[in-house]
Parts: sequence; C-alpha cells; structure tokens
Amino acid sequence: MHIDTNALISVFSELMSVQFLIALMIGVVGGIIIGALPGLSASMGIALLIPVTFGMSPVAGLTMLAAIYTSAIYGGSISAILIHTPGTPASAATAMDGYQMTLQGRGLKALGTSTICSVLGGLFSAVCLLILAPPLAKVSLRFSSPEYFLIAIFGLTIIASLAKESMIKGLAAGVFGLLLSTVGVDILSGYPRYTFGITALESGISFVSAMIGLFSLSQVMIQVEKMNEKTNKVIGDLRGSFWLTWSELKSIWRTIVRSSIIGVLIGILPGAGGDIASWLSYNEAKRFSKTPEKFGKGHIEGVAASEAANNAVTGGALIPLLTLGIPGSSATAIFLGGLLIQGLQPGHELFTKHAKITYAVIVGFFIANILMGIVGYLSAKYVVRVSTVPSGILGPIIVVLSVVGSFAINNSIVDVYTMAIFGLMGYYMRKANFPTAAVVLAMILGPMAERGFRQSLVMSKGNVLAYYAGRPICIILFVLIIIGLITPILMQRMSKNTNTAIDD
Amino acid sequence: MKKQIHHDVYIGLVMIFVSLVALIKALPMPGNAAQFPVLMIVILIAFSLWITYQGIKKTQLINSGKAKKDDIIFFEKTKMPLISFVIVVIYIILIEILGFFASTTLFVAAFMYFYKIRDLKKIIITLVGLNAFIYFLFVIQLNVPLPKGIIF
Repeated sequence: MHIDTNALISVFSELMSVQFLIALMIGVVGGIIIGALPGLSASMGIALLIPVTFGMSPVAGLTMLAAIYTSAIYGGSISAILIHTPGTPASAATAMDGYQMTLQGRGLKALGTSTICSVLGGLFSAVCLLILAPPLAKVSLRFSSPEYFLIAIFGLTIIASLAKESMIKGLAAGVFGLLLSTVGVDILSGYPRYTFGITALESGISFVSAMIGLFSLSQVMIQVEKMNEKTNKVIGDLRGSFWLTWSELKSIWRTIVRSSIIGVLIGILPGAGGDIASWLSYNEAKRFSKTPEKFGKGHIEGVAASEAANNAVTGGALIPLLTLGIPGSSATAIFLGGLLIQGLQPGHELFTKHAKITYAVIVGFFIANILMGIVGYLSAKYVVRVSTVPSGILGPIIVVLSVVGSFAINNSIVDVYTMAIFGLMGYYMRKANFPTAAVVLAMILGPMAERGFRQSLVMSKGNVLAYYAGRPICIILFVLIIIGLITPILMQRMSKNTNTAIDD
Repeated sequence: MKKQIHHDVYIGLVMIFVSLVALIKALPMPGNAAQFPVLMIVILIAFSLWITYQGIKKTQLINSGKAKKDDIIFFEKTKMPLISFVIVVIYIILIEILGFFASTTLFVAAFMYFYKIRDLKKIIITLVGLNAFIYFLFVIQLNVPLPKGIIF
C-alpha cells in the first residue's frame, strides 16, 4: 500500500477552515503553556481539552490534540532552560546544559537551540509518520476478534509497565479499569451490569470524565500538598541572540539527525517515552562528540540532542497508535480516546475509508510543529513567566476547566460527579504509585477486549488455547506481550546506566 | 514506639473487598454477561493478594528500621488535599443550586483564599478572565447549556 496522494491533496481544503486554524492555535499555545508549567503534563493537557473537541470536526479536534502533545514537550524545555525546572520529564536532560547556558548569559541562545531542534525533530517524526504508518496499517487487515482481544491486552501491558514501583500495581490498575468498563447495559444480553439501579450508569461510566478526574483533579490535589512550600523560581538572565549562527548550526546538524532518528525509534517502541529518548540521545551525542568534556557545562549540543529527540518521539509514538491501536504512553492512550470519540478506529480504515481525515491530521501535526517554532520564537521568554504563576491561581482554574469539560460531554452533572470521584481515586493511586493511565486505557479498550474475548470463546468451540495457537498473529502478539512485560525492567536498567554515565 | 502499617496493606484489602462485592453482584448475571467481569475479578483478587503480601513485607521492613517511614502515606499529609476535594464537591453541589457562573465565582475566590492568595487584584483578574473564557468558548462557541440556578 502506498500513500494515497489524492487524499493527501484533498486534505488541503480541510486545512483552510477557520475552525482548523483556531484549533491549531489553541493546541500550540495551550500546549506550550501547559508544558512550561512544572507538574502539568501533555497527558493532562490532552485530557482537559478532549471535551472541547466534541463540537469540532475530526480534523480540527484531532489536530488540536496532536498539537498539544508536541507543543507541551517543547514547552517543558522553556522552564528547564530558564528556571532549571523541567516542565515535563522529557525535558530533564535539556536542563543539564540549557540552564548552564542561561547562567552564562546565553539563555536566549539555549531557547533558540531548543526551538529549532524541537521543530526539526517534530517535523522529522511527522514525515516518518506519513511514510511508515500507511504500509504498517495494512497489518490490521488480518485482525479478527482474538487479535483485537490480544491487542487490547498488549496495550494494557505497555501502559501497566509505566508503573514506577511495581508492574503488578500497573497490571492491577489495568484489570480494575477493565472491570469498570463492564459497568452498564451489556450489549449482547441486555443485562444491566453494576448499575446499582442508577439510570445514569446504564450507558456506562464516561471514560472522558474519568480521564479528566484521574489526570487533572488529582494533579490539583497533589499541588495542594505543596501549598506551604516556598518556591523561589528565578528567571535567568536573557541576553544574546535567539538565532544560531551558521557555524553553530553546522556543529549540531549531525546531533539533530541522530537524535531525531533515536526519538522516532524510541517513540515507536511502546513503553518508552520522551524522557528515555532525550537521555539516550544526550548520552549518544556526548559519546560521538569531539568535545565531550563540555557536556553539562552549557554546551549547545547537549540541548540540541535532548530537544530533537523528545519532540521526535511524538510522531513516532503516533505510528503504532494509528496503525495498530497500540498506545505507548499516557499521552497516546488519551489520544486514542480522542480518536474513538470521533468514531475513528485505529487500523487500516484510517488510511483508506477515513484517509482524508487521517492525512489532514498528519499534515496538521506537521504544520503544528512549524507553528510551534514561530510561537516559541515570539513568546518563549514571556511564556516562562507562566511557570512562576502560583499554584493557588492555577489550581482553581484547572478545577473549573475540569468541571466544565466533564459537564460538556453529555451536558450532565452526573459526569461532573464521576470526574470528582475519579479525581479522588487518582490522587490516592498516584500517591501509592499506581499508574492512572492504565485505568483510563482499560476503560477505553475494555469494550473491544470483552467483545474480542467473548467472540473468540464462541469461535474456539471450547478449545481456546488451540484456537489461539493456530493463529500466527496471535502467537506474535503473545510474544510481544511477554516482551512488553520484560522490556520495562531492561529499560529501567538502561536508564540507570545512562544516568550513571552522564554523572561520570 | 507505635507500629506503622504500610498503605499497600490497606489498598490490597480494599481491592479484595471491592472484588468480592463485584463477584457477588456478578452472580445473578446471565452466563455470557458474567464471563468477562468474573475473569477480571479473579485476576484482580490475585493481584490484590500479592499487593497485600508486599505491603506486609514493607511494613515489617519499616518497623524493623530497614526502610524509611516516609514511604507510607500519612493522613496528615493528605489532609489539605482532602479539604480541597471537599471544597470541589461543595462547588459541584452549588452549581445546581446557584448556577454555574455564580458558584464558579464563589469557588474560585474561596479556593484562592484557602490557598492564601489574598491579593484582591489577582482574585478579580482570575475570576473575570476565567468566566469570560468559559462563556466565550463553551457557551458561545460550543453551545454548552451550562446549568442556570437561582442567580445566573
């Protein structure tokens, strides 16, 4: 299968609509601001803005979510460079050299490097997404009920592996989410399951409300914990030039290319995100550099490596999501929710039946990366002031947006209470190191998993194991699930080794 | 010295309790409808037992001084977040009584006061900006019928 050029040409009409341009702008500006705020993640930004996409066309809505995703990763570097507080974990490596540059009076140069490299990394990943996704999506044509069941389990395994402390906690969160997804009237038998006589529960628990509660309200509660802590965020001195000189560009282009490739590959790899990509690229840049001793002391190459990589992750992570429905991170798990809300199922149909929408979103993602650079150039030194806004102002704003967002789903106050309950649950889950994303993803994938499970039970005629073992894709998926369970342990070791190497 | 119990013990036990309630509720379901939930409950009970067991081990380590007490979630530390949660619940209840914008105004002012932000200028700017943004985006653009109460 090749790229559908007709669809690609026709998408440009979609991209000219006013709604699309507004959505793009909200996504980019909102993403940069959310990213620059320490503690607020790309996942939270996407969760908070999903209800806004309900009233939009699929192209505008999904482009906005993709724009938030990439811009938040970039926004995180602004606070990392200027106040030594990474806005997102993906920018932690940027702080190493970025903040040193600021201390040396080269803060603007660090911002310029970060902006240019983030844009280039993001653009490279968008091109990879455009080239790699259509042929890969063809694989999904061979999926039937058993494969869909295993895909859901694989996705959950990946998200469960994001648990900081123990994978069992991640898996337990996923299974709990699957159980929650059974609430409501069973489509096949018509039996109301776990509704406790409450009419509102007959249509199930709204996963968008749950998502907003788990990601946003819980975050506000965590911020409240620190309300008595005194913060002393001093914005570094901004002098010098934003733009890189020709010789500076020449000195880092190899790093940008290498880091972008690493970023895309890490993005495709489920379970590994921007933080791993940026540290790995940083380490590789140091290894290949002629002047490794300069790293950690305000070296432009250090900023370039980390920034090109973490933004390249975004397009890479969308490849398995759009083609096979496998989300590799919290942000892409929420993005999957955004896709399903628009009635779009990941897989082959996204690149055939819905090609016009999909290609428009990919091109929109490409444009978002360029716009991110322009907005970044114009506003980076002002955006950083947002990160000094006290939590006492941000907290109520996030709560109100969570309330209005969850109400807007069905214009129902029940969804707002659902959001609040999940907010409380999310707070304790995060305190006890249970990954909240696993619950959300399980609630999203639950109906597909159950349908696949029940249909394959019927089709197997009693011999489930033999039935699954007779299907090659099922065997591959079984192997991937096992790899998915082992990889986090290896990744943790690799990350530890990388950090040790950097400390050295 | 008072013995501390690691929170994983409580969490594991709560998960077992929830699983058992879900199992009892699954009993009257027709066979096909019960299959998937029952399978999930069985797996969840197995994980819960493991988490409880790990919690007991962590408790022993903490009480023997081999692990830090900081690893435990203390009520004292979660008190303020819980108060803020109660404020949020009161806000949601008030939405149906006073209407969205009136209760939002009250909530934002109260939350900022609770958060020790007493600068009137900051409170007013936040209130006006937030209400205007929501009115423009959700009411005008997205046509969301936000609840109207006795005030607005």
